[in-house]
Amino acid sequence: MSYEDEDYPVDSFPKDFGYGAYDQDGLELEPNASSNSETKPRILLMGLRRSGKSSIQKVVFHKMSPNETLFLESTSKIVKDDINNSSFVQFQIWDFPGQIDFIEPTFDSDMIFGGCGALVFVIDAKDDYNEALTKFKNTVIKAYKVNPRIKFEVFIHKVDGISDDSKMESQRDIHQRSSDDLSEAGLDQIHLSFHLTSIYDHSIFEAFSKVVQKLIPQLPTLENLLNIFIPNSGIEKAFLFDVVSKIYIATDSSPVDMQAYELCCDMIDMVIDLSSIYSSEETAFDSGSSSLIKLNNNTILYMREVNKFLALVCILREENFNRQGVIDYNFICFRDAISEVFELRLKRQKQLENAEQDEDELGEDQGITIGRLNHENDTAVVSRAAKMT
Amino acid sequence: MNAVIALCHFCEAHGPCAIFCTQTLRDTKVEDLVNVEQQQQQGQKTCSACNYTLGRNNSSAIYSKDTESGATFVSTKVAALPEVANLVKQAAVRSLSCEINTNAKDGDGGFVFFGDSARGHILSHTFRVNDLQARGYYQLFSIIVLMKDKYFLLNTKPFLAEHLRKVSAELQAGAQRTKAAEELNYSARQRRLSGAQFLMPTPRSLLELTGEEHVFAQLHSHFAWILLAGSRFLTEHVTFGNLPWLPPQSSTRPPAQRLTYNSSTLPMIQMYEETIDDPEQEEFFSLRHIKTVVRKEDFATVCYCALTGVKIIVRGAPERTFRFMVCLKKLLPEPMHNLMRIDAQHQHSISSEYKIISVSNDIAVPIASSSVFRIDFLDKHVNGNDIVSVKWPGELPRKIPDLMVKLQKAVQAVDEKTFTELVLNKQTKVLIEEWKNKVICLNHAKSGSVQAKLKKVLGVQPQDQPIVNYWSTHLH
Repeated sequence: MSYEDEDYPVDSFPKDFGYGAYDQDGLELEPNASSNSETKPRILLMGLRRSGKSSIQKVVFHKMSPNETLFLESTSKIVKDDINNSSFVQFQIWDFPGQIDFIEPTFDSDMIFGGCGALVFVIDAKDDYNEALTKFKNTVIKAYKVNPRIKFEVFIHKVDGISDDSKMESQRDIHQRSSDDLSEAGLDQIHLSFHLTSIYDHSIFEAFSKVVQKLIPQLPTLENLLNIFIPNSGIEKAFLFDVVSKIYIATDSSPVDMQAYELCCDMIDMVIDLSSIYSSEETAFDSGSSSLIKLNNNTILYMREVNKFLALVCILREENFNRQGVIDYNFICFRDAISEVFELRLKRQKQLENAEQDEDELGEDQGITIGRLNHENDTAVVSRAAKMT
Repeated sequence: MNAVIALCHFCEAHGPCAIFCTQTLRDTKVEDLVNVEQQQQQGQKTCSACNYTLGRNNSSAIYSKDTESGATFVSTKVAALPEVANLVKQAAVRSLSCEINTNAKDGDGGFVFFGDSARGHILSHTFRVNDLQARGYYQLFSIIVLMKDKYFLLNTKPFLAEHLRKVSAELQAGAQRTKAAEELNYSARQRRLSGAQFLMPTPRSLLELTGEEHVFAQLHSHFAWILLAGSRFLTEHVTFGNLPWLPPQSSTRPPAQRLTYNSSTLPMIQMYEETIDDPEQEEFFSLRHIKTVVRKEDFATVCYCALTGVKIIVRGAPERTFRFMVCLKKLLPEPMHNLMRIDAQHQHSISSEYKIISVSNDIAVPIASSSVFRIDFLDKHVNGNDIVSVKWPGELPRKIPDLMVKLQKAVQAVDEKTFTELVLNKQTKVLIEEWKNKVICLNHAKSGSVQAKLKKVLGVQPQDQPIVNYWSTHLH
């Protein structure tokens, strides 16, 4: 009696949805589901109805144009979306219907918050947010009780069309009140991150990048690699992009300038759009993809493919581009280092599949290996770069 | 049917909930429940989409009573009993926000079965209703049938599915009309893009969507009918059975399955039943009807075969062959009516003991032989009359049985307007009863010599022997 559709396993919430112990007469509905979803971190999108959860999910991960989100229907069920773009960017997004209170005891909170990496709570900045804050407080308390490792992110959403002053004011107010709420509940140790977002500009991508970055265990390694790469190549700023979603999974340690990020996003869009004209959708971005744009303020945008899903976009001064050979050579070193990290991760995943029980121990081992590898690469890049100069 | 049927709605403002529950009450006092409801209603949110209104009528519940079975059908917002209400509430959430059938083929209006013994078994039918003012231009509704008996629910699924689909189609059609009317005035898409805030703060109720003032009263009658008919569906289905190895059974009515399929509109008494139960109507189906359907010379052979137990197979659309079969039935005494099978569903029925069978066109039948008499209703109509082809290679004996002679005379008399069809029917019955008694009487005779004497007394001639032989094996 299982009315499952294979193409859309999302809908069968046999155990995950969890209305308590749900056992349909011994039917094993999704034998593989548990192992898959455990390895992937999960991002929950919660918030009041019409706060913009589905819009965020559609715009960031499905390339929907922001105007089209006006016609989105209301979400009536938890929509689970698998993001499998690259080895680094692997997670599930659960988009919750805002009308249903999932804190109620009828729902299995262990299933909802158990394997969850980050909880994104979306608050409509244009609306009165008292109710949202109450719901947020209850959600955080419940989620923290179930899983203290969850990272809490608050998106103060729909800030387009709000003046900068009132943006800041509402962020300060929301921050203040939610912190007060939590300390009242005796949960001072919870760290909340706040982002001002809108789907009509790149703020939503940036905010989501930060959320995703926290879920990438290799982030320090990647940042380190970029930090070495940049000064040795005379580059001012570099982003490692996930091409499909345009979220950046790592950047160097210099501060992120919103405009620079937008430029890089637009560049990726342009490259993909242009190359889609002459090739199929699948081959629009491949190992040969690279692009160079000179801006009229003596700045150069330089994009190179790292692997099938990742691209490196650099911003540099025109005079530093004289030594393109060095940059290209350093880039190859950088790419090799990334692919080594990538391979390690693959290996780890395979091991996980083989022996799922030993998951915890393995994780620690890998941490050490990555660290060591990191050091080797550091010296390699530095020395090679030094030779070239 | 011991079930709760509920209309559920995914409210844009308040989430999923049941807005209209119909259930069967037998022993519970209706008066006791009224108070409970009123208490419940006071605590309800006042959202037009989450509540129902009964047009001008202000009472909170609708009752209807089936005098025959003594069951009361009551519709309220929240199920009358608290335990049931809780089950319905949970089922509503699941039917609208997780157990949704997303098959591409019937993504809209699919059926999902879920549940367990603790939370009840649920058949859920989720569908969308157009609403230009809602997000995504539709609202999500579902009809759930909640039952404790899993197998009953699964067995009645074909019946429930068909009729729930009709209910949902009716609502959708109503909303479609409203939508079309609204679209004349403005383009929702344009307006939305222009940024005008036209979304209503609270979603519209079903009443506004369909533009039907009595939509909930209609729903009540639909649901109550489904509850009533659903119970009959299964019992009749089981009693009649389509299993070929079961002995022939009384078919005073065609099988229930057909009954329900032929109703074109909801709560409607079946067409077949009307014709059977209405005595006025029946008078006009006399033997003469057979004569008008088949040719004059075939009339004799049909009667002969029916009377002497040659298998008659009538093939054609059930609604066309039905009257014919009812008339043929008059040629058999009542205890032998179980030899008839109207609208047999299965090919096995043909090879079984049934003597007079009607089948639909899609069932293969044996070719005509001396033991098989075939009547095929052809597709064409001429002047509203059925065209039939009659095939029987056998021949009538030179001297035909006495009973048949009398029957033919009676039919002839009607043709000559000596008497009416009403009289013909009575006459037929009298003649058949007379011969039934004769045969029973002969059956009681033990030895051959006694039988011979009896035959003389009763006036049974040699030409009547085929009828006696046939009937005596079935009359005890």
